[in-house]
Amino acid sequence: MPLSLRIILMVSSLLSLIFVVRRLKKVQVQLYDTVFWIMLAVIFVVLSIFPQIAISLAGLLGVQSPVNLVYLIIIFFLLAHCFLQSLRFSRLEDQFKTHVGEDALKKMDDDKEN
Amino acid sequence: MPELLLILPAYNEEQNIGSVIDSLREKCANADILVVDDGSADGTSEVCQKKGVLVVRHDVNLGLASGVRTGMKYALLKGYQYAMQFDADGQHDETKVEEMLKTARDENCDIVIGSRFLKKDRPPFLKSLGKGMISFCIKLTCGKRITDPTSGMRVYNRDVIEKFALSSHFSPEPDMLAFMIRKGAKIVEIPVTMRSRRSGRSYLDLIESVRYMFRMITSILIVQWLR
Repeated sequence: MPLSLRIILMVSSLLSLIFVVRRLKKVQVQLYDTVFWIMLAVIFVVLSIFPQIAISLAGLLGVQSPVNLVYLIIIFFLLAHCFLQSLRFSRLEDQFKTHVGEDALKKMDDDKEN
Repeated sequence: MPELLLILPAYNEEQNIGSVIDSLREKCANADILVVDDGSADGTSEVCQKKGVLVVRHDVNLGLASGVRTGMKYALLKGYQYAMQFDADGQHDETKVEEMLKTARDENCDIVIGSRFLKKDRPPFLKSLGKGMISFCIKLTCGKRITDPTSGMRVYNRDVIEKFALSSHFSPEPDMLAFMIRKGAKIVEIPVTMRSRRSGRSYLDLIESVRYMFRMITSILIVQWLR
């Protein structure tokens, strides 16, 4: 793995970690939502410090260069996360629509009573 | 006005909740009862209204934590000194409510937990494995042993009520206990026995349990330090 990539990985991971933690402290993000980003940042920091992991894993899986494996890992995590977000978004949308409907019905009842 | 508000988060509990309310009324007459119906599809709210207790209803099912938070908001608004989380499915022992409240008052506790495992009372293997792991993580990070971190039978004092009601980072889960211990809160456990569910099934199935364990452990070991 080229040194420049290792440095970029490390710096960007640490920066995003700081960003997430600041949001967490300001209660701008749910506690459990930060787990994914924290873990991801940790994985990349580890990979950039110990590139041997990527090199031997790449050899094991038959990936031509370790860099490609790192890209593969990133793509995998992003797709998985995207999928989970999509499930969650569907559920939220459904809850939201139900709530707005029920709320409107309640307001109608209240208006009649007054 | 009573100093204790009993919060009963309920989701599809029409079979059980009636008898729970009856025995609570009998065993702890000087506490108010608030049922938080978390978007039930059955007649949970109707049963409670017939019994004449306070009922607040969520339009959609938001989960246990939101149910408890709604209850805490009510407790804060109305000025109760203590709030107790109590299962609506009949698993908890109503006769222990007074004792737990007394402990909270006399020993000036922030949280009193009804624990199944202070006396030897082993649950099924998988459940005890999960609880053991959470217990171990709390001991590891806070140095205090909580024998029953997932118990849903807890008394909270005014300070904790306020935190729960005002911040979305507080939930009635083991990771919150770990956080509170580290912030210097006083948490005491009282031995209780719990019954098995009277009817219906617990909402925690296997996949859900694994997810829950992962959340709790990562939260106790990693996220709580960054808060």
